[in-house]
Amino acid sequence: MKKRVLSILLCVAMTSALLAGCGGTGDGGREKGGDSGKEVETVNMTYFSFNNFDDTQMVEDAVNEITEEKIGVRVKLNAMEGGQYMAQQTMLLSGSEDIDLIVTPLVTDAMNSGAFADMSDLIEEYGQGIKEVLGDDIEAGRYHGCLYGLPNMHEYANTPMIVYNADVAAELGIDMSSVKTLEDMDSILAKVKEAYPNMSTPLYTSNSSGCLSATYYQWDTLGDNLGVLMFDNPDEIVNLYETDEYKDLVTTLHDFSNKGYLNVDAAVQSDNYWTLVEQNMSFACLINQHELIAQEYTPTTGVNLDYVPLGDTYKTTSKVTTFLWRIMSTSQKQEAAMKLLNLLYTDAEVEDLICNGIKDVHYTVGEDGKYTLPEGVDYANSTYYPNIDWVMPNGWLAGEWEDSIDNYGEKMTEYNDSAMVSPAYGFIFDSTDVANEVTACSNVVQQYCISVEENGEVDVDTALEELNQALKEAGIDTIIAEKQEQYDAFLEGK
Amino acid sequence: MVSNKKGYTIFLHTFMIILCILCLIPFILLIVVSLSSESSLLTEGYSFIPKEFSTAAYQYLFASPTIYRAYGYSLLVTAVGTLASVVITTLLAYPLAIRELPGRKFFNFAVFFTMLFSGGLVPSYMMWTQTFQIKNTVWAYIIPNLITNGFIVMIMRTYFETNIPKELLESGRIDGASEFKILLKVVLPISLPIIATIGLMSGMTYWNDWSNGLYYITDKKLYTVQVFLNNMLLNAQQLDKLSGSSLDMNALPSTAVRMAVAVAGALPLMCIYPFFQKYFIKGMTIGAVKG
Amino acid sequence: MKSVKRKTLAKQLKRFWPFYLMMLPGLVYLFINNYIPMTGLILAFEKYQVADGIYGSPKIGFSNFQFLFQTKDAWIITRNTLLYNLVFIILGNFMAIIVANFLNDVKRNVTKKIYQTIILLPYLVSIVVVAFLANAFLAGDTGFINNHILEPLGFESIQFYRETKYWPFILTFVYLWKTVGYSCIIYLASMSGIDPGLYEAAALDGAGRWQRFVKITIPSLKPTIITLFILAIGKIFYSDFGLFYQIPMQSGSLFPVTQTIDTYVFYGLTQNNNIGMSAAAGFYQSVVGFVLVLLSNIMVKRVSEENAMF
Repeated sequence: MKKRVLSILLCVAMTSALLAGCGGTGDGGREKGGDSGKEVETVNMTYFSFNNFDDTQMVEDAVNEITEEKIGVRVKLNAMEGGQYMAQQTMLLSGSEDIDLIVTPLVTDAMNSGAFADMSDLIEEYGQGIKEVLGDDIEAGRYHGCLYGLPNMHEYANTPMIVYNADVAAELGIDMSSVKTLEDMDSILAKVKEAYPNMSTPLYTSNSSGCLSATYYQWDTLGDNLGVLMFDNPDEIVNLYETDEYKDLVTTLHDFSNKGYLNVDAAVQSDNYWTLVEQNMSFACLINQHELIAQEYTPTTGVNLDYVPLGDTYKTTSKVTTFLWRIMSTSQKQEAAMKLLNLLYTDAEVEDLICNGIKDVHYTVGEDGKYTLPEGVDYANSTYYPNIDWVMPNGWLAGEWEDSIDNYGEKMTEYNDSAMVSPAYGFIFDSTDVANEVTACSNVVQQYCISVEENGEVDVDTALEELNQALKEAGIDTIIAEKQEQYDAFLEGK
Repeated sequence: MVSNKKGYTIFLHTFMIILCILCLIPFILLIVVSLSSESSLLTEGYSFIPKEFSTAAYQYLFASPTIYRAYGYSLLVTAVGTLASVVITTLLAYPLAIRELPGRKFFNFAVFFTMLFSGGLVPSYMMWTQTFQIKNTVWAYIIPNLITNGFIVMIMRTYFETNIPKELLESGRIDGASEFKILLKVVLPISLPIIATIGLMSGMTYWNDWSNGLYYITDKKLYTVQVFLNNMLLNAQQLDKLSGSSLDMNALPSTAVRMAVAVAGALPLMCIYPFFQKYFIKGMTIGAVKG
Repeated sequence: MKSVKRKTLAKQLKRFWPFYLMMLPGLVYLFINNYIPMTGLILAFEKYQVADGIYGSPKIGFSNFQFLFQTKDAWIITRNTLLYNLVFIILGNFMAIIVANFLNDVKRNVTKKIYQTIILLPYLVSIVVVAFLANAFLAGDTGFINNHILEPLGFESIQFYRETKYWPFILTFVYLWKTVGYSCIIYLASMSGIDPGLYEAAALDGAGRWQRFVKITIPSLKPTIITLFILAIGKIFYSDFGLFYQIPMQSGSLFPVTQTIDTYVFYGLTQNNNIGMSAAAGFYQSVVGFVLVLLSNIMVKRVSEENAMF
């Protein structure tokens, strides 16, 4: 009896009869999808939201009316809560789910395990709209020659900058336009500190979840800062923690820390800058962001924010591939999924429905054409306010809300186009062969970065030396050598 | 002797009261913070006397229609799950207490072994979702916790071993009663304490469980309170990591809300616990729990 | 001869089949829920491929295990995991017995109930929230200890989240605070099973309270203590992830004293979410735990046969 149960169960568990490899995947889906013309296929589309999406079913019905007519495909909107989505990601991508279309970060390991279908051929056939919208950036998700994902429309570049409270600056007579480097902030922060002695964090650097060098940088991090590319040395992968750039940065920050400009508890800071600046507990923030960020957060925080750039704007792989839309290799409806994806990149009506819900139910349109929540509804009790235009394939097509910036998409496109392109744009590092070293080095960086970068009590040189020593032992040189090799091959292929 | 006894009593109560205060202080802080306004928390820091009293956190929490349904599901899952769990555990533990049962040692070890080895999350997940399709059904809360752990089976078995007189079973058999009838009519009535104990332990597990919800439930309509609360905290953590992306701060629950969430999750159990306590202690006479 | 054997077997079956029937649901359940997923441990030796599934992916030997042993961190995380667990087992059980003994001596039922409910409170609060509470006490600038205790007394404030030396105590305290209320219940139950006549007889013989505790209570608790001890040994390579991840608020400076196997795996693998490597870590923890349980069981068997687990 038991043996029988075992064999049955094992069989079921093993029948994840799927297809591997780059080219084959697409074909497999297609054979099955050959008769898709006869019956309407339902594509499971999985994404996440951090806000409210209780009425997803209602929206789904409305979307299906359109998609069925336009492309003969139905969609199952599988919205998950953001935190849960991140926690489940490994399992969602392990091939055990009935998912056709999904949005994920870069996740090289899932790409290595063959979780995604190669879209190269599918896009030629069904994705002409996408090609038009994305242009050359369509290639950003190409990995080992396979097109495993498409970037969504968002900012593709960022600028090292200081975001600051313009009201406080005006009140203290500070001219922020004179700020060209981080060092220039010294006297300004001194002034702020003097005027507001209770301000806990005059200069906000980073929070508990990471190192400052992961959110503020003037180089191409190549994803993880373990081996980076300095823009003035486009051929060589260097060890960030041994560069003069890094040393200068942390020396300045140590100085700031000793003068009390940084939060003493930077390591465990759990509030973000926007919360702190709202309560006037912080003046400025050091970050890599797009140029509209200050304007975007002005209405949310109720504080008049502005920014000064500290360096050039660069387009990098990691920025473009923040979120990629994928077709799962296990999907039996890859053609239908591609058709749907094409519609999502190009059709304003569908995009608007998914991002904002149904007119006069979930929002009302003002005279200026901007959306507001209906009477008596707020963000907490709304039944559909998913706030996912930054996750969806092309959220710029969706309607704009009253607090948002006019013509956001156009402005962002302009910004993206104005950016310089990193020499490593399009390069995705495959860490399979150095996975052990990456694990060890990630731990080392996590351990040392806060004390190296933001703890004024320690001596910069000693701390840096310790960090580099530990990284050497953890095998950073092996990672860099491997990265260099892959990067050389990438440059050659370009 | 008398004064010695009095001295001991005073010492005992002093010790217990200090211990209780240690346990209560953070909890009081928790409640105070949940009733403080967000701005006062940021500017004044944490304090036992709220600088600005505010029920905004609870209003925010209970504005969401999800939480009411979630309380309903929590009750349902806890009730059904506990019942099923008690039945299946009792049925497994009772025969293991029969000393003459052939293969008893093997079965004992089979139960014990499950406490040491686990296959990890990914294989379990694949099996439950692919083979059994429990994703986004109520079963996802109930089934993975049916036998919470081997320990509970062993506690129960030991109770049966030590507390059920053999003669009682024998006389039942002589009367011609079936083994099932003996279990039902003879054994169970004198085993209420252990049943209540197992019930409470598994009830606590079901009420407090958020991990099954995290992995198997993505449909908001099926959330239990703990899953609702846990997802809220998880969202906050993830949002912190993504901060700076173009996202809305309205989604970020404030410190006060997070504390209110904790209170809302723990309160019902705290209210129920004293009523069950009587049985709980009695039943935990595990004596010699061994394999 | 053979037929006799068969006869007894048939006889036994006739007598015992109801018991096997009773056990069936539970055994089937354990088999499905616990034993089938164990076959998934094979992942630890594979380079997982979606197309090949759990059982068909290419085998790569032990290379998934390398990251656990490769660096000098391996020593630190193993040491931390073991030492904390040892301290937790010893102090945790010690505190639980003491508290249970006191509770057992409380005569009034209402008082007993109140005490018990209150000390169970911490067990009911999510560890994430406990981390916030701990932060409320420990934070450098706004924290309770610095703001309301050290500074008014004229001491210099302490940057808890940067100083490793306090954390072994903080973590142990938080652990005990959170778990003693629950674990003392088990001992309390065992104590209520002790025949009160034993105590009365001892009291008549003039044995003091302490003597009664040592001579009667502790020996009666011995089986429970040994069981809990062996079980804890089985889990000694696992650490309470929430405790070590949340309470130090992921402060890197504290890693030398807060990093355990579980947190190391977590931090390391958030970069590359490798199913094989996580499985390898789990496999390693299970196997070592299992071996240790076997060893400690042998030891227990030597000392007192009847208390061995199997």
